[in-house]
Amino acid sequence: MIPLLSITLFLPLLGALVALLMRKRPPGTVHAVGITTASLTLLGSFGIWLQGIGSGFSQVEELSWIPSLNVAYRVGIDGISFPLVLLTAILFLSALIFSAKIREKANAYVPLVLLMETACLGVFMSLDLFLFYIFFEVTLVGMYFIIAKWGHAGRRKASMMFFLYTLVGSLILLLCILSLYFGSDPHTFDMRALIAEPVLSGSIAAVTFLGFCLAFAIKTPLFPLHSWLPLAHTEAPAAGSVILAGVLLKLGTYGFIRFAMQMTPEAFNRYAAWVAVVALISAIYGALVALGQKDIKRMVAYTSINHMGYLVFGVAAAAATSDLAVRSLALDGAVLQMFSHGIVTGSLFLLVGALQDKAGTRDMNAMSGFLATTPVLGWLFVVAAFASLGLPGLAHFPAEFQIFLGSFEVYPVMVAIILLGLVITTGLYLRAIWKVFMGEKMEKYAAVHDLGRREMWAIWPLILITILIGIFPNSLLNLINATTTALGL
Amino acid sequence: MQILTIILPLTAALLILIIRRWRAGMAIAGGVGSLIFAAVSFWRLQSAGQSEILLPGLPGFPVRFLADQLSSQLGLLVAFVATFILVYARGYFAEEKDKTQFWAGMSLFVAAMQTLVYSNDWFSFITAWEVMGFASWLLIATHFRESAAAKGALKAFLLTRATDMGLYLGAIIVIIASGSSAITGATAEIGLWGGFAFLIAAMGKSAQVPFQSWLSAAMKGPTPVSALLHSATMVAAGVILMLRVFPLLPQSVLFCTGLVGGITILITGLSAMSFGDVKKMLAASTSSHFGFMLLAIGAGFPGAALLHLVAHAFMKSSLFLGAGIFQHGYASTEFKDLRGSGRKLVFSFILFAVAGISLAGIPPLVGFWSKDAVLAAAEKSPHHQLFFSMGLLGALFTGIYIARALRLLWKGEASEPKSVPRLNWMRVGMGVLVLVVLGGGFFMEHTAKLLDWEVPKSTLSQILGVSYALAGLAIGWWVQTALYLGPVYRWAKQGFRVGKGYAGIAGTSAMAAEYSLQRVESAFTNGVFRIGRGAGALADVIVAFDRLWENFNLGFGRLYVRMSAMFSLMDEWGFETSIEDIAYSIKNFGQSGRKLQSGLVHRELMLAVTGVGVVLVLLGLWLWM
Repeated sequence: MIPLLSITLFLPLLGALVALLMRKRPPGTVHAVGITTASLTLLGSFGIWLQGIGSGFSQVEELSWIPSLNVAYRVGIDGISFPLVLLTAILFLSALIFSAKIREKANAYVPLVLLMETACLGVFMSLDLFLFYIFFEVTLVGMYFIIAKWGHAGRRKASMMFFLYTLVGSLILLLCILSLYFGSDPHTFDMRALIAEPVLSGSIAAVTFLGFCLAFAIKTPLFPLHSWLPLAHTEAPAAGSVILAGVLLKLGTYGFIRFAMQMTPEAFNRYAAWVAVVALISAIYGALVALGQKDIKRMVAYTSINHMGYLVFGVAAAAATSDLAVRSLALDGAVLQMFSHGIVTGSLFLLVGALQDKAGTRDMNAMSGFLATTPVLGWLFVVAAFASLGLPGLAHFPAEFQIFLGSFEVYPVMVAIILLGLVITTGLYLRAIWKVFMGEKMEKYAAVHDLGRREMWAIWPLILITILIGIFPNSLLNLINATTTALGL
Repeated sequence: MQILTIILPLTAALLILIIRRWRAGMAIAGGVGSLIFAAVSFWRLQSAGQSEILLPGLPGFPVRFLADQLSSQLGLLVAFVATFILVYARGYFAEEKDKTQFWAGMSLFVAAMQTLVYSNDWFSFITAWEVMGFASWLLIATHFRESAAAKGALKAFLLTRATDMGLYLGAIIVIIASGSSAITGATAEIGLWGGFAFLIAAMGKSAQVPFQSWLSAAMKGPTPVSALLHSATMVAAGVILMLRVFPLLPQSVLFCTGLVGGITILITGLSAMSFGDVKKMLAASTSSHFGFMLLAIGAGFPGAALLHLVAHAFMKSSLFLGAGIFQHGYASTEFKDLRGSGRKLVFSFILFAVAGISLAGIPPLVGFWSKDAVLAAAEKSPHHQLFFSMGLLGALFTGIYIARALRLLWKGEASEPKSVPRLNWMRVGMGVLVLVVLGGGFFMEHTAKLLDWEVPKSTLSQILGVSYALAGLAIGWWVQTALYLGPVYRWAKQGFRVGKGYAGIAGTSAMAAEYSLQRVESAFTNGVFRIGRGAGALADVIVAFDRLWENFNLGFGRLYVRMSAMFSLMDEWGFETSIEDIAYSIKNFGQSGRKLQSGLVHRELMLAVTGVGVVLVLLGLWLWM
């Protein structure tokens, strides 16, 4: 068997090195290298799909690294991590295409983004805690530089905020990882061993679980640890926002499933109701705050908190129940929600980025009539917005419906409340469309062009995937379901 | 077969989007195709029995499309009405070319409605239900540059989406209770909550009190859209939902269903009598007649509700299409601009009048048969005092507002209408529908027999129903509205709006919530920055300390230089050396001392300590000697 996992994982790194060597070349060439590498990586992830993914960890590769500490290079994939690998490959390609307009320091930007891609893929593929932590840290540093170097006006404040939060989060994560390491006998960083037989119990498990919750709640983010997100999103360049919302937030939710749920299952089971309450508050709070925004990019950023709230709610319900069918239903929804949110929010950020490039503002009150001025941009935004508010037939609905269906048996009242979030997001997206896209054309934007080729190539595939997942959710769900039903917790 | 009724209009929608030519032709072709396959599916059902198609949906929950008596009759109805509305729209939009949004939206709408009709699992049912809401949003906003149309679309979608949460909850409760996502044949104890959740969803979609206001806001859409929305699609979905879940509903929920229907009949009936706009009048009348259907369901006779749904679809679409012809002639839908217009557009007026009188329930038109079934159902229900009297009042009200509309359109002097291009397309579309209104009554009996449900009949309700309708028609034709409505008139004119309506209530509370949450948000952000600044201040302290430490070390260095000078002096005293040697050694030590200053801290310290030690030893030796 070809070691496709490793090839796909390190392909972007190789591309980054090649791009670094091209210091003297024009930015166009550097971007071409970036886009080619990302395309090959996407092909690689399709190859992984074709090679077959079973219910457990498949296509595992293992190389000894630091035998004395039982650290090894271990990578593998299952139905929970593969959708995220696919998502990462798709979104980085879109982001690189979209940011091909960046001329300033392109020969630093492209390698940095490619480095981030390897790191993100690594986080989802790692089966070794040590390896996982290294990749996890690299993503933080990479994102910090993307915001601080290529961001908008308020980037210094935003990048500082981002760094403060995530630094605290990763320190806590490190402690939890060490706690797992020292709890295992013999000491190991092998995630498969730690998942197969949970090593912690009692109060140590509870404390470790709390640590995981804190670390991943910052990353996800959940209320009240979310305040880095709106700033970072608004100030990051469009492609940065796509990576941040599409992929980096999933590190948190992936952690909730892979670590909190699979490695400290007892503790999660005991405290699931608390997590569910926090997720419920996040979902409603995120929606309400998004409703209050005048800046369209900030509004989209806040809806992420709402969607992540549903997701973590589903994971909490899955952790709380002992009914296998209910658990796999809620988890299926949660995993699909990660993929859908990445695709939908990714396209929303790209569209808003394009809008900002054209209108020169993000203030919804200062815009009007863009459906007539730039029809393609406008209608694509309509599709993405309706997907985000959970219209059936588009990507979010199958995920959210499964989350609600699975969670209802565990927390019926909370599901009834969390449905309100759908109504609020409906209101805020309809209002945004009404304000920005409907109404009379504005004179000052008469000369504005519709989406160009670069933007089309970046956005259209995401929109098509949104529709595809909405109509044929089974294409991914079968894969996810095979894993979630086999989870012997 | 049932799949093709969905796929053909959907394909039409896609092709219209992609090709952007022959829009009307493709939309009509999609409608005709859907009609043909709905007919084939209906015929196969009669000969070969019902058939179900399973497609992959969610894991464990396949998508099911069922052709049974209910779905194939409704599928036929939807395709038929939609096709002729599309034909009419070809004339209606003769002057406005390239309406991609409209034609694609109409085709999507038909596809979604057909999906809803044939769907037999909750996943596809909800999908169809909401996609139809999306399509109605698209269509109401056809003229999105006008702020009223854009706002009407927003209001319609937001209000129905809010009540859709009832459908989500109800469906979840049924799936969990029955263990399957199939709709028909489910046996489940859904309790009061499940029943009320479904009722809320149906009330929103079918524009029942208190959710009726979105329907008049939706009147800002083009008239063919209104005709489609108000007849066989959109509002019909609410009643279809209630028909599908009828076997699951507990008795108390059924009573509430009838009550909601009855109240809606009366309140929206009063509104219809007072509205000054023909389209708004028709919209209120739609709510009122869907109230009749819920009344029949509440009385325990879903068959009567289905009959009225079918009959109403033909009558109401004809009425709207007629209103659209007047609208084209006089560029307005307000009665005050349309006074006497019926005398100029006599053919259209006659068609309009036939449909209206049928709606009032005069034999032998189709409306008589269906309204008779509803009234008989109310009479036979356990709550017959309440339900029957509400139904009869409804018959009276319908008579009044129809006769009033006819009076306003007929009496008075009108100018010549604008010449309407392609009027014949509109006349054909409307004419075919009115033909069904004229002759459909004779097939009602047969249709009712095909159903699995009993359709009640009663002589008493026939006689009373017709007399109330005639009385209503007489009052409406001869008496001014303000006379009999009295003090209610002004309130009814506003559609019985409470306070500032939903926009006011929801707007105020949402703004209050937004405001307080904004403050929480900024408190959070500032809090984190305060922590950040605190860390910064701490860093300053550490830097200051570090500088102090550095100075301290530098001080040691200087001390050492001085000590080495002293050491050299002692050297001179202790040993016999020349002056030159002293000078040389001072210079030498000074240089090495300067070098040492820039060295590593610990080495500096070590040297200093050694130096001090040597000095102390020498001092001791010297004292001892």
